[in-house]
Amino acid sequence: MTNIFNLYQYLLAGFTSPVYIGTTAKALFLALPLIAVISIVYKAIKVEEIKFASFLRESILLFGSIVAFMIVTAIVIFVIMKAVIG
Amino acid sequence: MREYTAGKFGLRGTAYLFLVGIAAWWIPGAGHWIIGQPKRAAIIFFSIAFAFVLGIWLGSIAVIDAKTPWYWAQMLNSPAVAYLAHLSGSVYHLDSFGKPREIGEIYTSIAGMLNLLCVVNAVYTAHCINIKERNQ
Repeated sequence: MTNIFNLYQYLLAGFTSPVYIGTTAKALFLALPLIAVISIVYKAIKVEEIKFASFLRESILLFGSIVAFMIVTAIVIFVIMKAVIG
Repeated sequence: MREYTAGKFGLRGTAYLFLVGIAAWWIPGAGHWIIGQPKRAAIIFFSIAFAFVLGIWLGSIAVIDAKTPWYWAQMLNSPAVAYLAHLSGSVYHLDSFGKPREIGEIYTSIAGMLNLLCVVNAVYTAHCINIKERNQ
């Protein structure tokens, strides 16, 4: 019983204090799970019929497109920044 | 695919659409489940729940703050978010700052806006099913 209570408190504590996220380039990887969710939900309402293989392929394609577009945007912004600021 | 229509529920068309919309808002995916699309419903439920839980784990439930504009987007997840706002603000008096809060707010708000997309899609699909039933 005590173990269950401890586990409950442990789980609850996980949602009452924020985790540490440093202001580093690695923090950008936190965008990936969100992009995955956006791709999956968008494809879930778009595809005519849900079949595992085709749904997975469509979702991965959308995920890849979003990530690729974000990388291109980052490169363009970086180039503009370098050209303007030096 | 078996479709559940207003007629099968014994409801008028508008009441059925209202039921689908409210269910989809209260529990992500429930709207699609009502209209007979359980696979879609499960995908929507687990994806939106994952994004929301990850958001409140990263930034704590303090990211649900009724005083910020983010709250309106977060409320689109489910009305249960209001209870979490009450817990974080009035019961535990929690607060979070900086990057974790920012990322938590983005995750929970985008999860809410994705649920709005699903609510609209569920209601529209239910409307199309109703029209198909009426025409038969």
